[in-house]
Amino acid sequence: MSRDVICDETAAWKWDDSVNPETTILELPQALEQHDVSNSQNRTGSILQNGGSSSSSTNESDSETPPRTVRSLTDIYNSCHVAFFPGEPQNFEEAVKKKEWRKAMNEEMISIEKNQTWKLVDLLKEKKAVGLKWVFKIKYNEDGSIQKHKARIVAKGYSQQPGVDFTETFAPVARMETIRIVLALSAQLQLHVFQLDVKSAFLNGELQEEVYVQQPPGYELKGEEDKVYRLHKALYGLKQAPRAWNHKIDLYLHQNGFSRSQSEPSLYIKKKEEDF
Amino acid sequence: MVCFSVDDLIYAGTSKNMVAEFKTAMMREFEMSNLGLMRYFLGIQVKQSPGKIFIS
Repeated sequence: MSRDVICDETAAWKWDDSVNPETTILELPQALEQHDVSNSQNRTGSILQNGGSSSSSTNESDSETPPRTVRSLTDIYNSCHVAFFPGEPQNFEEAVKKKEWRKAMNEEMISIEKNQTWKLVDLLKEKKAVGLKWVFKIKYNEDGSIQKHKARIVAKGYSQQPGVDFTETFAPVARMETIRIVLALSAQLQLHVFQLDVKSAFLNGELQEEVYVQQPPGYELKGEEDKVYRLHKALYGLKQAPRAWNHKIDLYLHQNGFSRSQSEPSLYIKKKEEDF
Repeated sequence: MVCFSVDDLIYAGTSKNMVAEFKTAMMREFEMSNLGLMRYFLGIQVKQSPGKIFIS
């Protein structure tokens, strides 16, 4: 029964009939093509046409079908309506051409200076400086409009050497169970749960180790190109950045009378005499 | 009671004063955005109403 059906492939794919002489023509082996046809017979019923004439028509029409052509990528792009979003630059050289990215980079540099993240020093011979790079990100509003252009300096943490540039990297994260317990307890005690978000949290972390970074691309100081920055605070991308931040917040909470839970390092409790 | 993961944190307390105190102290110490009542935290959507908290 199914042998009587031929597949109208031209209707499905709308191949351009005029064959470009330059394009190579792929002729599939007979066996493969037959396999193809019987496959599509099973799958796509809607594009099938009933040949009806004779049972042998399948084989004959196979050899008559026009050879598959090769289309160039631009053709496909033209017909596919590919949407291109305003790109995010991949490196400094691309970003520096656009005004909004230059502004974003200046803002990042200012915030780093304000944060007292680093200090310019001479690099000692036996020390190595970690490379920096720029990462660019467009932040969108919920409606898809552009909220802001964000440029961030990140350290190439992958080049850090254990024991030299960092020692410990572990930092605790809250477990889902803990969050659920906090919520359940709050519901039971009829408490409101509030939320805070620390902006560029990692930049608050203070470094224990001696880490040097190169000057960021495009912001090398004139006449002092050989100097490097000694980091006092963490940068994104550093292996110990999460740990440094965690250490900082831990210290701060302890100073303010909180105590860390024994079994869950991300949970802190503060008690007052009259409570509980 | 404070629970945090990396740069997000949630907090709640039996004493309203203490909660407010904590918030202002944190805002002073770090650069923060105050998101108010907890709505969305680590992939959990939260709806709070008196006596119950609905999560999804």
